[in-house]
Amino acid sequence: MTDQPILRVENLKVHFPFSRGGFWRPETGVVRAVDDVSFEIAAGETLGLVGESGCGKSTTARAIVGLVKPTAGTVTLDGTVINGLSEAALRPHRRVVQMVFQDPFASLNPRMTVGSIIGEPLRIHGLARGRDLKLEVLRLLDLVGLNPRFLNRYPHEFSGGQRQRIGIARALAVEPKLILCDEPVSALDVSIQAQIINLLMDLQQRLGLSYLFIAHDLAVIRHIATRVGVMYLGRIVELARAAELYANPTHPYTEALMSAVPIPDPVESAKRSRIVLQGEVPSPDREYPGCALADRCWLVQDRCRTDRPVLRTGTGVTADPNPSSPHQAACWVRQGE
Amino acid sequence: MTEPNPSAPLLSVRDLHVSFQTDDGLIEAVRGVSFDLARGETLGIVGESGSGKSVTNLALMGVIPTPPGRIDQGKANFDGHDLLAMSQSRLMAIRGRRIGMIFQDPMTALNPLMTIGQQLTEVTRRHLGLSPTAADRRAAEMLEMVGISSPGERLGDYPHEFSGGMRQRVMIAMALSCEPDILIADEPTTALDVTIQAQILELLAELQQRRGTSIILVTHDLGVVAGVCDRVLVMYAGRVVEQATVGDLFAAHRHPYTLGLLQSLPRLDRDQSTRLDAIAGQPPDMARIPSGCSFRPRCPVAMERCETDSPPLRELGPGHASACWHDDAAAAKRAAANADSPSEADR
Repeated sequence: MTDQPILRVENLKVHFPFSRGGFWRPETGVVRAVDDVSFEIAAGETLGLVGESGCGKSTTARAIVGLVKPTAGTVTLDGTVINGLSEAALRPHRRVVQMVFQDPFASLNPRMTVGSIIGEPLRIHGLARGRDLKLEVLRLLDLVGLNPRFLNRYPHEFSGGQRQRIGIARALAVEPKLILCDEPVSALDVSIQAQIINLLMDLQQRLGLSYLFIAHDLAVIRHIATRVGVMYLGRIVELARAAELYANPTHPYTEALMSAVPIPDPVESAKRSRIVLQGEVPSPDREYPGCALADRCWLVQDRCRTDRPVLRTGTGVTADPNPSSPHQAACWVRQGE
Repeated sequence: MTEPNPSAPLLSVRDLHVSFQTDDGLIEAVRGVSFDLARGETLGIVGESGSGKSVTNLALMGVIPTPPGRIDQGKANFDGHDLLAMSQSRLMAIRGRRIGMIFQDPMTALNPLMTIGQQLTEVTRRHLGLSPTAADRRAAEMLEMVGISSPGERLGDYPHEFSGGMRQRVMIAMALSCEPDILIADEPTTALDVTIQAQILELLAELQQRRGTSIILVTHDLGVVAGVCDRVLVMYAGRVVEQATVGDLFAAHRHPYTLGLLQSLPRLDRDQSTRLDAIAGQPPDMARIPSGCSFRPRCPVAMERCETDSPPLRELGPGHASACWHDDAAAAKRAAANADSPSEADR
């Protein structure tokens, strides 16, 4: 493992301008989908990003691969700053990072056979052709646990879990170092979800992959992630090693989120008390000068409404025994001074 | 049978069979489901996609599209009347009035062209015969009860002006506005974030306590089951494979499929860096249901007999039943072991 992270994201912002209200009373504004997010992913590591719908976790991933254009910030992939590069200059770097999507029904072209879906990235990057291409595709099918007989079949002939395996094989084709997994198991049945999680973890061990793993399910994240970032309204509010985060959640939002997850054990379930946040997640089309959670937080103080808390270690945040990945939170109250 | 008896189940479903004619041939979606629902009870139905859990409830509500669907067989005794043998007009007097339903996706279940107020008052005017002003008052009360602030003003809003969690609250308000005896909730929180899910589940539990409503909760989330259900049916390939109290389901489950489901869950409350014990194989293709026990191709303990004979759901103890040949074997072994030494009772 080298010291250089495979991915470094610094002060990433993705703002979407919008206009609404019709012709007579136009109203314009900006949705701050991702608002100043920074993190690193080391080689062989899995960073989990967790948060509720609209928190910006998917947009973060899409901005990293250039599916949406970042408004500000830098994305450094394997030592190269990639945002701002021309399409041609970007192409060799695209091989370093691949994506696996949530919906295994929408992310595969229904008119292409499994063989051509998995082989396409190899052809585009000029990595294999002819007989080599076919052999490589067969190797990939085997790698993700699919039968080589499936080569000439079409996506509709497969179940959700099998399609997700096809999507993973396609991502692996160009031998990436980093895979961005955007809710890869949330559309799958429980029993199949476990198969795909196991597959992703096996592949990581065998191939030394790094993952950015996005999910709304805190239990899935706990299982797969090395470190976890909790997002709320476009910001990372807490970042720590997984074991540390789940043992000592510090940010009030993390605490509330964890207390809301149903536990599959009636005895444990009856013992828990739930922290209720006021109201619902507000719209990200407003600017929050202070903490984004201020309106819903039970610990709120005056300062939280005016000054934006930065993600950092602090007296109120439990120190992580592992100094290379400190436990950080963005909360004025919990951090102390 | 038509005598009202307070200890008798409110709803009693027996041997329900539902099939659909498709391009793939005849699909038997529900293959002999039976269960009882007591007054004030929350019954969970869990299972994966295609297990027949939603179709079971659609059949009870009389909303199976026919054709291609068909209720082939079965009885559903509700308060002395068979829901499945009832005329549409009699069913319409019960549906929405005495049995309410909440669907997974509140956006598609609400009419986008009608205000929330119009949709809420439609139910009470039709079923309870309320006057327009009384219905408006009732609608505002219901919105307030489900925790929507300034309900009077929001009656004029359209569904798109509400968030997902709010829409689900409106659905609940609508389903409960006639104070039904049974509320059927089909994945009511699946489309919602966890914090909103927790709010909605708490709301349902609170309403149930206040009114004594019976709830059938269809879900794939065993965490939700543990939190709110009294009893649980586990369905697989159109059949009930295990039926237990919520305590037994988690602590003393018997069917290999139930065990598989529980073991394949990543847990928030436990540190586990090991592999998950996933159930092998794929969910059953309902057009080609395997012979014998339908779980057999994925079952780690399948025996010869499982290939040929389908195991019936058999009582193992009070309120606990499972459909697995191993329980037979276990019972025989237990009997044999009991003859020698009484200690070797468990499998």
